[in-house]
Amino acid sequence: MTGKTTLRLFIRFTLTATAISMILLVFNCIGFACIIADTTSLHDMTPQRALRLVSQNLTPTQEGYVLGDGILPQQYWCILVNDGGDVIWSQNMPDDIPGHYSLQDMARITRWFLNDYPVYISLEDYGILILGEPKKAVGKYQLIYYMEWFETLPRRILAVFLVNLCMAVILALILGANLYRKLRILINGMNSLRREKQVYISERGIFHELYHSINETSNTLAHKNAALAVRDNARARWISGISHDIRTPLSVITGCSEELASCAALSPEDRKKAETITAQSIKIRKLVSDFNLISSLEYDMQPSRKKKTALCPLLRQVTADLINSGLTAQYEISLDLHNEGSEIRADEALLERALFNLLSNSILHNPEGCRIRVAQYERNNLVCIEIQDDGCGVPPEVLENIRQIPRSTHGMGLPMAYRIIQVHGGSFTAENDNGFRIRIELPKEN
Amino acid sequence: MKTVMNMQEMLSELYNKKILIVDDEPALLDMVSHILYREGFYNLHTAADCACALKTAGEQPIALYLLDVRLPDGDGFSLLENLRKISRLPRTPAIFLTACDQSDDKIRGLGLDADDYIVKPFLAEELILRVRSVLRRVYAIDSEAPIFSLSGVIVNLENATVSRNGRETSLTAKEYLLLKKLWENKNKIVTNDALCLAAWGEDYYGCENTLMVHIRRLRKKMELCPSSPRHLITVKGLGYKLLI
Repeated sequence: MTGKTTLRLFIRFTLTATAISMILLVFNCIGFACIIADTTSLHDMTPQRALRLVSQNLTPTQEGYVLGDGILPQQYWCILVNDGGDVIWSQNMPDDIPGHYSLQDMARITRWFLNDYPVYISLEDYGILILGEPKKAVGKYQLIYYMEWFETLPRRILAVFLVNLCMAVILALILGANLYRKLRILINGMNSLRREKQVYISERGIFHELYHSINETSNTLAHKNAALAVRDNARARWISGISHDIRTPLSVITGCSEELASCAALSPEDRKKAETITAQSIKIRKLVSDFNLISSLEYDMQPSRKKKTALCPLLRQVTADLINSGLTAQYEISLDLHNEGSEIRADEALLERALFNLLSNSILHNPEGCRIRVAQYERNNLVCIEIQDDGCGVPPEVLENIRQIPRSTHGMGLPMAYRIIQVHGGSFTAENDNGFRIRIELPKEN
Repeated sequence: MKTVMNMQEMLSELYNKKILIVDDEPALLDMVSHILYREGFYNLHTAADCACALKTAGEQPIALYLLDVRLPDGDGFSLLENLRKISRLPRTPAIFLTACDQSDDKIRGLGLDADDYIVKPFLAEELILRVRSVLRRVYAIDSEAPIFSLSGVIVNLENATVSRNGRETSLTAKEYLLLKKLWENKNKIVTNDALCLAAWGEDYYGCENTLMVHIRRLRKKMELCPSSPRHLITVKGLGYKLLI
C-alpha cells in the first residue's frame, strides 16, 4: 500500500518534470531561432530597401543622374560608380569616401566595409550603386556551410533533443528519488500512526514540519492508549473484585438454603422454596463467572496460559461432557476428525469453554432436537473446526451481535466463544446454512 | 462381621479428625461448620484470620485445613506454609476455599501442594465429598470398597478380581486402571484419551489400538456375552461407558 502510493507519486513526478523540461526546450529553440533569424526587423527602412528604392528612382537626365528628394533616408549615403571606376553620382557622400575605385577596391568592398562604413551593393545597367550606412551601425559576418551540414542537420537536431531528454529524465529521477525517500518516511509514519504504533522520525528536510506533527501525534496516541489501558485494567480488576466478593455471601446463601431444604421441621412446600433458592444461587454463580470471563476477555486481560494442546482429545472430551450432562435422544452428535495429531497453542480450559458453548448453543436453539456434526481438518497451516447442525438456525440479530459485548448475560455463549477464539488468534465465522454452521480456524502449532 | 467392625472404626476415625476452618466471613464459617457437623464431623475449629488460625493450630494437632485464599491479615497460601511449619504432624492436608475464577492454575502454579480446592459458592454435597476424599487419601482410610455386580458378575476393585459363577479371575494392572477409571465415571462416557491417560500416563499418544485390545479382554472377563456387551459399552468415535 505504502510502496504503491509513493511509487505512483514518484513516477508521476518524474514524468511531469521531464515533460515540462521538454516543452521548455522546444519552446526555447523556436524562440531562439526567431531571434537570430530576424536581423533587421528593428528598422522600417532596411539598407536593402533603401538601396532598392534608390535603384528604382534614380533617373538619368542630361545633367547626369537625379534622385528625387526624400527617397534616400537621412542616415544613409549613396554613390554610383561607372564601369571605369569613377563616381558619377552621389548623395550625402562623406568626405572620406574616395572618388575612384580600382578592381581590387571593388572586390574588397563588395560584401564588407568601405572605410569602416558598412556598404551594400546593387548592380545596375548603368553602373554599380553603393549604399553606405554610418560607421559602426551594423556588424557583418560571413557564414559558410558545407552541404553535408544541411544533410546531417535533422539528425543532429534529433541528437541534441535526445540528449536533452535524457538529461531531463536523469535529473528528474535524481530529484524524484530524493522526494520519494522523504515521502516514504512520511507515509510510513502515517501508516504506523494508523496502526497505532509508536513512531519517531528525525525532524530534518523539507517535510520537517510534517515529521514533527507525526511525532507529536504518535506521542499523543501513546499517552492516550496508556491511559485507556490503565482505565480498562482498573475496570477489569474492579469487575473481577466484585465477582470475587459476591462469591462468599453467595456461598452462605447456597449453604443455608440447602440446609433449609433438608430441614425436617419445615413443610415440604417450604423445603421446595429453599431448593429454589439453592438452584438460583447456583445460577448466579455461573452468571458471575461468565461475567468475569467476558470482562477479562474484553480487556484482553487473560493471563497467558497458552500451551501446546491436542485438539482431537479436547473435541472428544467436550462432546462426551455434553452427552454426559444428560443429552436426550433427539440430539445426535457425530465427530469427523481428520488429523488426529493436530496441535495448537491454546488455553485449554478457555478453548474447552468456547467449544462447549458452541455445541450447547445448537442444542439450546433446537428444542425439537437436531443432528450436530463436528469436523476437524487441517488446511494451509491452519487447523479448522466446523460445527454444523441441521436445526432451524439462529436469528439474524444473534449473528449480527456476535462481535458485540453482550448486553445481558442471556445469550452470551456465541459472543464468548467468538472472543475466546479471537484471543487465540483465530478466525470465527458463523452462518445459517441448512441449520447453523460455525467455522473456526486456528493457527497450527508446529 | 469383622469387616463391619473395621468399617465402623474407620468411619469414626475419619469423623474424629480435627478440622480447622479459616475464613473472614463469620456467616460462611458458621455454614461450613454446620454442614460438616451435620455430616458427623465433631472436631471442628474455626478462625477468622491468620493469627487466630496459627494460635488454634499451635494448641492441638489439626488433621485438615479448610482455608480461604484471601484473609484480612494475609493470604491462604502463606498461611498454609506457616501452619505446616508449626504442625506436629508430618504433612497436614489442606483444601482451599477460593472465590477466584481461575484458582485451578493458581494453586497448581504456586506448587503449594494443596490437596484440593473448592470454588465458592459450593454445594454442601461437594464440600463433604472433597473433605472425605482428602482425609481418606491422606490418612489411608478406605471404607468404601468398590465392589459391584454386573448381571451376576462380581467385580472387586479392592483386590482386582472378577468373580463369575464362583470362579475368580484376576485383572491385569492395565485392566484394573481402566476399569477403575470407568467405575469412577460410571454411566458416563469416558473418552479414549482419558482412559489412555489413566492407564499409560502422559505419553499415551497412539495407545488406542492397545486400548481396544484391553477393553476386549475386560469384556471377556466381565461380560456374559462379550460380543454384544451390556455393561462395557463402546461409544463410537468417543470412548467407552460402564453401565451399572
